[in-house]
Amino acid sequence: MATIKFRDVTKSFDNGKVTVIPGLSLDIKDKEFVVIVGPSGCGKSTTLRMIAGLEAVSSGELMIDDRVVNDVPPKDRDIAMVFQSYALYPHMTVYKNMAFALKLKKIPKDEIDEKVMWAAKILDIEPYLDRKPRALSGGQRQRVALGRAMVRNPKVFLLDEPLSNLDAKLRTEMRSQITMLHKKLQTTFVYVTHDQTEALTMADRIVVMDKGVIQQYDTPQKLYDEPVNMFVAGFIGSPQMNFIDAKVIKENNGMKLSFSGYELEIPEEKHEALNAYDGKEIILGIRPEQFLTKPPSGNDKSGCTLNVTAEIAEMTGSETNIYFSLGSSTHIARIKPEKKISGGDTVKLYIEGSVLHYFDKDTTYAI
Amino acid sequence: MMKTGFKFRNIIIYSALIIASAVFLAPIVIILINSVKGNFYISDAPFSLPDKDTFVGLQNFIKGFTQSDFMRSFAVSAFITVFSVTGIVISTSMTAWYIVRVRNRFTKIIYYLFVFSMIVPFQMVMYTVTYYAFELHLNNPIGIVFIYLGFGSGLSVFMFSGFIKSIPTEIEEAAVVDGCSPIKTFFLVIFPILKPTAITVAILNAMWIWNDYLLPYLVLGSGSDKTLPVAVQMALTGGYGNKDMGALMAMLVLAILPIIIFYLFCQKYIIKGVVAGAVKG
Repeated sequence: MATIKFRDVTKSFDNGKVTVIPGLSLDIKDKEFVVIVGPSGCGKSTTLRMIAGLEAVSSGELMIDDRVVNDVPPKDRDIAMVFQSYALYPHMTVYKNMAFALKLKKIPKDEIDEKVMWAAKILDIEPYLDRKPRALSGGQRQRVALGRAMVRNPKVFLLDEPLSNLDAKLRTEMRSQITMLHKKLQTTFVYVTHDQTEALTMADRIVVMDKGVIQQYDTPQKLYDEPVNMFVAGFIGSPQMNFIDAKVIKENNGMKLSFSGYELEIPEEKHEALNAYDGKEIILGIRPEQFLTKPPSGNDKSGCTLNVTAEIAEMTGSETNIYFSLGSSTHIARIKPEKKISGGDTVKLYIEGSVLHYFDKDTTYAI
Repeated sequence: MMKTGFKFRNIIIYSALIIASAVFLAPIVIILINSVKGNFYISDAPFSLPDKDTFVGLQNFIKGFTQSDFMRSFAVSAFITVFSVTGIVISTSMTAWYIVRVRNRFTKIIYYLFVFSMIVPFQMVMYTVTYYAFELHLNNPIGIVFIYLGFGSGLSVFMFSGFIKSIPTEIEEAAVVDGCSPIKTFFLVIFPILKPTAITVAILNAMWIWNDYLLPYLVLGSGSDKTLPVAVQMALTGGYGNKDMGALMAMLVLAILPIIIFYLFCQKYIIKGVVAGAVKG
């Protein structure tokens, strides 16, 4: 059992002059795989380092297993950490790297041997146990770093951008390995990354952070379908969500959105929420894959049709990314074309009103 | 055309290097060849190679060994060198680690003081050092170790700092998470990584301390605790300033032998250490 709780935790540097985390409250459940995601400098690594005990908590309470650990040194927190640069000891062999923490704990040699061999077998690094880290590839080093954490059988696994130094192919491979490892070990995992694909594919729940503040903490599906604000909507999903300035127009028999010379019928379930915005500007959010090349087949009568000129058409295999302009801004649609589309072609795009996202222009929060 | 130019330039460079090597090696070669020649022939034909008339075998070595207190001076020199170098390597590597990792105004000042101490010539401070060495009762083989620790720390801290800057802090953090105290982190993780620089620092300091003449002469004098360079200078002096040159040459050969062996044994690390410190610092 290993829950992690942040209670109004703050973190500042330079005697309080620079505040990185202004006040964080977060609950991580036992055996959960939580990914903290956000842009560079958002405080995600600082949050992880506070759990590890490598950064002191400025104020508030940090609890592991309901025990306040603010002043507990890293070695007594029963955690293990995998670093971005692997941080293997260069003068030790793979075996010694993995056995180091156990040796410090004065665990009997037989037991150390058993644990190292168990981890090496799972991670498929048995043939490299006598090698020094410099004689290993990036992927192998990463597995050794994971093994070093595994042998300690910690309550919490902390992973700080562990895949960012690997090439794309290896990253995909290691991603699934880490997910399987989590299933096998049944331990709490806290994983930090700036890569939203990693977050979406691996996490049970994702913490989206910006400027030290949690923007949303939810399951990957919820974050994708129901982003609470424009930051989350823009951060989750690739290519990112298109944002279009639009005006709400209330009519006798319904509501419409007017943007760049087009009019879009707002679905009925959104009328109540948008009532207060009559005559005002809001932001319309459309994911690139929500543009359709055929009229929607369902009963949804809302939405509209756009006639756009493809400025650039990027073929990505099964799909094509089309860059087009609406007003002064460029947007992107990801479609499955029936015929080849080239730059300069006119394309008809359909939008379904019920799948769109509506944001308050001033607060950037979802309506 | 370019190839000829390149070749010509190489010939000039190699010639210059060969001449420079010859100039540096000449005194050693002269000492070597004269150490097995009779006294008369050393002054008569110092540059000639030994032949059946001039060759005296190990006679000079035996004389040098038996008629001077070579062994005692050798032991004093070895004691001072070993303990000074060990002290310098351990204390300066720890100091450099602290200076690099704990960055504040205090450590910055300390670092610049160390660097500044490198550029102050010994001659400028030798009288005050000698005076205080006597005042503090450091004028003995144990005391002089502390003086060497002071003189050797400037360059050593500078070299260690350069290398430590290139070690990712994540390695130290991994050690902390694994359960290391700061002392354990240093001795089990950092110091082994510093090995190439530590060996370089050890070689540079060992060569200097072993061969040093002025400081031990001023502090220890020419009494029973004199070091080897002082002993060689004092030994085998006959009447009217007459010297047994053959035995002197033999003593010189024996005196430089340990440090040459130590250098050859560790030389593969010296380049590694200097480069690592210089490039990544």
